[in-house]
Amino acid sequence: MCCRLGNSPGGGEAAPYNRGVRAGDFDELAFFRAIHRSNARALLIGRRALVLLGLPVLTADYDYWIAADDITAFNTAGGEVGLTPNHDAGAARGRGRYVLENDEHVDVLVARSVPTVEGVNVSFDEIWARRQTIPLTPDVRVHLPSVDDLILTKRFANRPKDAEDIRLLTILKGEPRT
Amino acid sequence: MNRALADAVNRALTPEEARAYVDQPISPEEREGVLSLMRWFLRRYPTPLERLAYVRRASRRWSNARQPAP
Repeated sequence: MCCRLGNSPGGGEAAPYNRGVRAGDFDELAFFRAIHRSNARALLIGRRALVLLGLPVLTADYDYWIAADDITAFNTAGGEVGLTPNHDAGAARGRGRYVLENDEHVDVLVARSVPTVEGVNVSFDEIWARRQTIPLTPDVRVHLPSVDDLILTKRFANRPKDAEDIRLLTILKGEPRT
Repeated sequence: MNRALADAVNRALTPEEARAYVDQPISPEEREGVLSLMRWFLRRYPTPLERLAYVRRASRRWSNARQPAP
């Protein structure tokens, strides 16, 4: 389970490794703090949400689902740690998703609702209302969907790793919360 | 990640494939395997911040290991 990795940013052939170039030191806590302080309605989804819940899965990026009205606030938060959007807010709303990137890659879903592959419409407002909150520090909190709603988000793309994550979440769901 | 592998990782399962995988009953062995890993993870990295940091380090090691030697 620990070796199951998500997509590398951009996909395709990896560029030749240049040992002279060192990756930046992304301040993850500063990123979450900036989002917390922005008051943007933002739900961490994807495998990093599973990590917060105690499942040791690997991932190369961050996945968020945010309220469509909070794109500017969210992007401002990302800008505090050097992340820039690949589409402006209007284009992002039209596309339903966009990316914040620089040293890290953040997939941002902004659609007001997304269908699962079975055709179940999952509304951001509904899962926001059912969210759970994980404190990272006394002054920084991260919002996640409930476990049941995380399982629903795993039914959006229906990839092999999503099916695997659904099984992991199902096992987690059956355990008493600590 | 090479193209063929990326395509395999990212392909959408058919509804039948997804159901077959997800609906397969979770055996006691599978459940215990996952819970054993979780117990280790939560014991070794008891706070959310530590767990996130572990994943960043592990992902970086994985990425570095994939790079061809110069």
